Amino acid sequence: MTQDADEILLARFRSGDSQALEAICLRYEGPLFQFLVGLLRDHHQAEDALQETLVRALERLDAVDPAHLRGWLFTVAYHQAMLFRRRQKCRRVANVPMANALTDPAPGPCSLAEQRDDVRRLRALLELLPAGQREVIRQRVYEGKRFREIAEALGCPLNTALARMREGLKRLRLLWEQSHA
Amino acid sequence: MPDEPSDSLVGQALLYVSGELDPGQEAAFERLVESDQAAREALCQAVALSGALAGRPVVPNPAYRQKVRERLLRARTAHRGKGHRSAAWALVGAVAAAVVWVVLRPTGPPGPEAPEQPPVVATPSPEPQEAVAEDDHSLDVANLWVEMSEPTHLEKACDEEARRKARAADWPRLSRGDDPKASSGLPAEQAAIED
Repeated sequence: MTQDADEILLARFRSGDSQALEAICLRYEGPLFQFLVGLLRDHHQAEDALQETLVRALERLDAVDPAHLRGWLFTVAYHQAMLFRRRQKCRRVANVPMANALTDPAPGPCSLAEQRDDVRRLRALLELLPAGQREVIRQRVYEGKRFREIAEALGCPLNTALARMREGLKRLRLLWEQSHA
Repeated sequence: MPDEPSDSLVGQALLYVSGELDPGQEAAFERLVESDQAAREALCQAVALSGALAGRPVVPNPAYRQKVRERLLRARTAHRGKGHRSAAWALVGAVAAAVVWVVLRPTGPPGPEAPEQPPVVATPSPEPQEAVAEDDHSLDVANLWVEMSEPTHLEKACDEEARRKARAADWPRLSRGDDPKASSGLPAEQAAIED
């Protein structure tokens, strides 16, 4: 099934089609949420900010060029994130692992067991990666080293370490999804 | 199609996400994502990759969608209410304008006391033009009323009337070619300036 272009979705939304709103949320909630998590470092704040972003952006659609809907949504999201920061007077701590912001801060016992299982699976999948990518991820995840330290330890430029991290994670994600399929 | 970020941008985003940029670099990256779509996409990728590292996709709780729907519906209902109120005020304004027009329009046909018609006059007229002429007449009356209420306007009106009469008196003479300057094609006023 082909997806409607943004212009068509917006026209449907403006005419009161509730399915269009659902489609807009489905299309953009992932990237917007990731963006907000990146800026706010807090899962719940990012969810609240996502809600504010979509409400405010969709209330002001008359001024938006449908061809730039994505950019518009991200602009509103950015300003919401800054507003949330000012309100919360959130101070970013340099060594707060991103994983803490991504997971539920108060998991129940079942979730803990699931997470332990996931960690075991992740270790197994890590062995399937090329050596360079595996080493960067291993030192990052299991030794908690900073990227600059990893680059120094491996004797490679920082950008190379980052690129290996990126490629390795993409491959790991693919392997993870395949193993859960 | 979203702007595909470069490897170096994604690398920078990964450092930002992991808290390894110094404060100046961090502020610079945040200024970038304020408006640069490729940088924004890079940040999304960095967070998604970090989520993969944690073994969990970075997605919101879908319950937020219902809240968005409810708030937008409330906003739409409120806006429709405002729209109805604006329409009501517009109607009141239109009625007021109609009342003013009825008060100012003349009650009888134009007589000798009516202001003089301008020299260039439209050829008389099928019915629609009569209605237009009547509207123009009432507007002239309204404008005249406003001007009469200001003393300086009254003086200016007298001066202008005197000048107009002088021009009207000169016109037949000029059209017969009595004035040498008129034969050169110069209007009387310009001739007066050059004297």
